[in-house]
Amino acid sequence: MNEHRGILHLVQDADAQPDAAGIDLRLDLAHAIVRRLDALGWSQNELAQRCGLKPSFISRLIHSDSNCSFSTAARVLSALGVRPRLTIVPDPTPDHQSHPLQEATHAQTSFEETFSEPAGRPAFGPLQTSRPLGAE
Amino acid sequence: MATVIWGSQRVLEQLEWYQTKKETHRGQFVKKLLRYAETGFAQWQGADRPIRHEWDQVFRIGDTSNLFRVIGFYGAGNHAEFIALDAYLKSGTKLSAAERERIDRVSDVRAKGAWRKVEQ
Repeated sequence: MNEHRGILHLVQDADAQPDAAGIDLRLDLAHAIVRRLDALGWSQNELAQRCGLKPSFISRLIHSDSNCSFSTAARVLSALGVRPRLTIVPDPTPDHQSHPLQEATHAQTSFEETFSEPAGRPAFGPLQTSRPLGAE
Repeated sequence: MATVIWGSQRVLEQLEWYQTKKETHRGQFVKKLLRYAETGFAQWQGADRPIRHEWDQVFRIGDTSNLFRVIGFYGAGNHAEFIALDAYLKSGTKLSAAERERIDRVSDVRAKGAWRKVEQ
C-alpha cells in the first residue's frame, strides 16, 4: 500500500494550482444555481428550457465543469431570478500576503454575497475498515 | 449544514494519485470535494448532481468531465457525516462488473458497521 501525504497536502497543492481561483469561481456559480433550483423547486431540465440552453450544459455548470462566459452565467442566474455581482477579495494564498498591491492585483471573485456560507472548513478525518475492500 | 468527510486510507491514496496524474485538472476534484463538504452534501445530491445514489444507501461523488469517483455513505443517516471508503477511476461511462462489486463491498461495510473513525 502506498504512503499518502494527507488531505492538508492535497488541499495546499490544489490551492497552489494556476486555475485554483477559477475553480472556486465555478463552484460559486454552481452553488448559486443549486440553491436557487432548490428554492424554486425546479429541475435542471426546467431551468435549461427557461434560459434556452441544453440540459447537459446546465449539468456541466452544476458540476463546475464549464468555463462559461459572464454573459451565459448572467443568463442562467437571471432565469433563476437573481443577478450576479462581482466581489473582489484579497487572495488568501501565502505568496500574495506580502504584496503591497494584493487587493488590486490579485483578485478572487465570487457571486452574490447572499450565497456565501459561514466560514470554517469541516474536518476530513481518517478511518479504518475491519473488512477488506477488494484487491489493490 | 456542513458535512464532515471521513476518508479511508484508500480514498486518500487515490485522491493523491489522481491529483498527481491529471495535470490538466490538478486539484479540481479535491477543491470540489471540500466545497461540497463546507456547504453540505445535501445541496449537491440528486439524480443529475455531483453526489448521486448508487444503491443500498451507497453514494458516489463525481464529475461530468472525468470518470474519477469517490464511493461512500452517510454515517448517521443524515448529511452530517460522509464515510468515504473507496475511490477509483472508472474504466468507462457504464459501471463495470468489478466496479459494481466494489460498490457492493462498500454497501457490505455499511450494513455490518465494519468501520471506525481514527481520531487524530
